[in-house]
Amino acid sequence: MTKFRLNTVLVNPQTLKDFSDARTEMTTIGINALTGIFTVLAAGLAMSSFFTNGLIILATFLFGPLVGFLISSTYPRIEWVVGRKFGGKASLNDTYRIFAWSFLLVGFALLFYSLIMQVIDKPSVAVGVLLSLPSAVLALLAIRSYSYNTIAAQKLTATRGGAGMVITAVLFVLLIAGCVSLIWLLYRYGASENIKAL
Amino acid sequence: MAVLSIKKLRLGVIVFYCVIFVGLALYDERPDPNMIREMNVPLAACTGPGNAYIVFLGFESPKGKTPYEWGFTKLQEVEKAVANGTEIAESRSSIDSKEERLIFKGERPTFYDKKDNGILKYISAHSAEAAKLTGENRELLNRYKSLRTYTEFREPVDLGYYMPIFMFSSIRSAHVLYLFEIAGTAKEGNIAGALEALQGDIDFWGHISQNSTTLISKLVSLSPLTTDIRFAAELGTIRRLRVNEMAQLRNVLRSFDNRIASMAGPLRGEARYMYKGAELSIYRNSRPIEGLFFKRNATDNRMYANIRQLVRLAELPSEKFVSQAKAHEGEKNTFRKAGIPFLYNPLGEILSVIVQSQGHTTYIQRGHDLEGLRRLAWLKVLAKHENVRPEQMERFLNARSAEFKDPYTGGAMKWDANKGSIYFEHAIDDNRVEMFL
Repeated sequence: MTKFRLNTVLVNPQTLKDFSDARTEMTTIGINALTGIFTVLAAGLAMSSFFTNGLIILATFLFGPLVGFLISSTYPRIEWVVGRKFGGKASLNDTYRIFAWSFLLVGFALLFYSLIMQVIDKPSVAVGVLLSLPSAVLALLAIRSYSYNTIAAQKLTATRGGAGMVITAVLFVLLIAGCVSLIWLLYRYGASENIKAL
Repeated sequence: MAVLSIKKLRLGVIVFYCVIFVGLALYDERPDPNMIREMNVPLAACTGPGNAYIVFLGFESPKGKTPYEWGFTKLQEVEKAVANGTEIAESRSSIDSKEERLIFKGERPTFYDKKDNGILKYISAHSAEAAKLTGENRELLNRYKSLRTYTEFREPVDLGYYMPIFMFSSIRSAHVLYLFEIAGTAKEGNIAGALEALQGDIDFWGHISQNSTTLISKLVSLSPLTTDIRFAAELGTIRRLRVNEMAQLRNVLRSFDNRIASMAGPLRGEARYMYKGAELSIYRNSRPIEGLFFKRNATDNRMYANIRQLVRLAELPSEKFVSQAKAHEGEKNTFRKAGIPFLYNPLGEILSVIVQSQGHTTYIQRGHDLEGLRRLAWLKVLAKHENVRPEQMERFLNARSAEFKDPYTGGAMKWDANKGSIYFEHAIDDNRVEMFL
């Protein structure tokens, strides 16, 4: 079985694909949960001046996996639907696996950046940029790997595959914005009255 | 088999999070029994004829109506509106706009913010202006003098956020006119008479301060007290005082009763004010969906715990207060971060964290400043009577440090030779309280 070596995975995107194909779906679900944990912990650490450590830890382990599951069930699905419209051949399972293993590294990059910012108190802009470089490079390589593997799995040209990925990202952002707006509208115009009316 | 396991896992995850979210949405804490007991202690009615709060409320009453009558009407209107759940802002503005208020005419001068800026000096240099201000505002001055006949001070804190707040500007201006009158008495050579009148004023505001149950009225009462202390120091240095005058001054500048300077009482009152305020406004009008994110008991408990912590801080002697308050400096003046209750009460927890960081320690400090200022006033008087020269001032302050110490450090008061002032520094900000010699 392929071993997970960060340098190999980052330099050669195909390695990540081989690696994800060799793992079970159960492992992939676990990886999504871990990505969620990394992401929520990174966000919690960024707000640690306002939230207690107890809350950050509890929220991380309670809701981190949920965040991972929600993102990983939504984004690859949009990717798959958009890819099909462009004539892509990848299955939902393919996009799901590629997304899971690539975005584990993005989550890790976010967490790494938050941890550094915890150690360094109020860095200057230059120091801040310098310290964010490792995380930014890691995240960019992970996105590159994701893009390469997705386009390959879709069996699309770089242009069509790239366009599909941009559309997917835009649709994902619009979906989140739509959900937030819906909640805001419900709150603003009195969900209780509507519920009562029902 | 594997497919079945994943399906089961997905179902399990969905069920797990549904249970979690429903549980968090429905869960609320039990109310703190101490809070419930404290919030339900019946308070005496505020509408008694001797209540100075009502007179403060109606202090600017139009001609033909006494301050008490006008204040009483205002309070009753608000009480009626709260009871009926009608729009309070409308009833308030209708009372205020119907009739012409009696407001202070002219510009009130400020005192004691720089050297040679005392009331006695102002009266000497600007006697015409002082007489004009007094003449044009005679009615307000008379109303101010009549305040002494009101022997109670009770605020309707159970009206919560709807409690009418009195306009202090006219009262403060009338207070200055009253000090002009006392200064006139002193200039005629009647220091004893001036000190007696000043004593009455300090006693009155001390009584208000002692009975204040909100921070606003406490801070309002500390303002004239502060001016009175500075004025007493000025009277004490007008000339070498006789023995009987010195004895009177000693009484005027005696140590304050702890209840006058302490913010503990008003903070307790604030707890009730907020509790009742939330009951009458937030909870009365809240929609069911808000209840999912804003839990009443959890929010009330947190607010109450915040206030209890501040009350404990306010009950500490000034030097201990400093060490406790400074321990929280690194936390941007907050005592607490949002904790695990945020999960089931996100809005209430955020609200309680924001509210508890609104600089209450600064208010507590204001109370301690009063005692420090009293000591500075005495030092000023003694320095004058002992003919202490500027170069001897530090030695003088050190020699008197046992009796007149810096309230926050416990050491001697400081001397600023450039400004010609004695002072002490604030403990939790960069300001100082000073008195010009």
